[in-house]
Amino acid sequence: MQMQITEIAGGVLNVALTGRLDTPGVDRIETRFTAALVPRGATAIVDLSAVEFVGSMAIRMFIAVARALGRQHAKLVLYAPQPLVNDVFETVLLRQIVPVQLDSESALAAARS
Amino acid sequence: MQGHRVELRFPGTLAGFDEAFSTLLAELRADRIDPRSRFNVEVVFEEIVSNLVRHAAPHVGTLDVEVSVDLGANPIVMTFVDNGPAFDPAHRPDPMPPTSLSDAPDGGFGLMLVRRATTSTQYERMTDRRNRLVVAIAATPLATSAQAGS
Repeated sequence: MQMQITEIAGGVLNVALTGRLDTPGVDRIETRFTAALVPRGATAIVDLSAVEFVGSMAIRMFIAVARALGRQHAKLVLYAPQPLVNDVFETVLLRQIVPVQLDSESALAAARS
Repeated sequence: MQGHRVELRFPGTLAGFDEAFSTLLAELRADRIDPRSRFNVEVVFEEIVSNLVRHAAPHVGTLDVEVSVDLGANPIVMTFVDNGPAFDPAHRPDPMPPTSLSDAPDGGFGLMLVRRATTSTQYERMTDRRNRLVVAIAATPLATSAQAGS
C-alpha cells in the first residue's frame, strides 16, 4: 500500500493511494494517512484510481478521517474509484456522508463547495 | 469449469491473515473466474477473517482459522472454521443507513458487504466447540462473461 501526497491549488491536498485497502493494507497506512491530514485540518481529495480493493476497514478509516476533518471545517473527498470498489461504496451508502466523485476536477470542486 | 479447491490454515493474527490472503489472491489470479466473482471472494475472505482476528482472537489463547474455497464451480463455496466464541453472522443486523458524518456508524459494514456478495450463508456451532460458516458466491466462467458481453 503506497501513499503520495501533493499540495494543489488553495492548500488542498491530493492524496494518491495505490494498492489494496484490505485489513493489512489499512493497518499499514492508516496512521500515516490520518497524521498527514487531521492535525493540520487540511481539506483533501483522495485519488483511488490505483486502489484495487476496499473492505470495511477502509470505509471505517475514510469515515473517521472525514469526521475529524469536518470538526475542523475541512473536507475529505474521494475520487476515481474503480467500478468494483465503487460498488462497495454504493453498498454501504458511503456517498451519503463522504463525497465520491468521478475525477480530480469534480473532486476539487466538491472540496471547495 | 474445472474444479479447484484452495485450502488455507493459519493463525488468527494480522500476520497470519496477511499471508493467507496473499496465497488466496495468487490462487484466484490463476483461476478462470470473472472479476466480479473474484472480487466477491476477496470481500468475503476479508470481512470474515478480519472479524475473527479483531473480535474472536482476543477471547482465545490461540485462534486457529481454516478456510477452504471451492473454485471452478457455480456457486463458489467458501468454508470458514475457527475455534473462537460462537458467532452467527446472520444474527447481526445491518447498520442503519447514515444520514450525516456525526451519526455514521463506526462498524457493521463488513457483514453487510458479506450479505451483498453471497447467495447463501449457513452457520453451525459444532460439537467440538468450533464455528463453521459456509457461504456461496455466484460465479460466472470467463468465457461465458465474454460471450454475454459481446
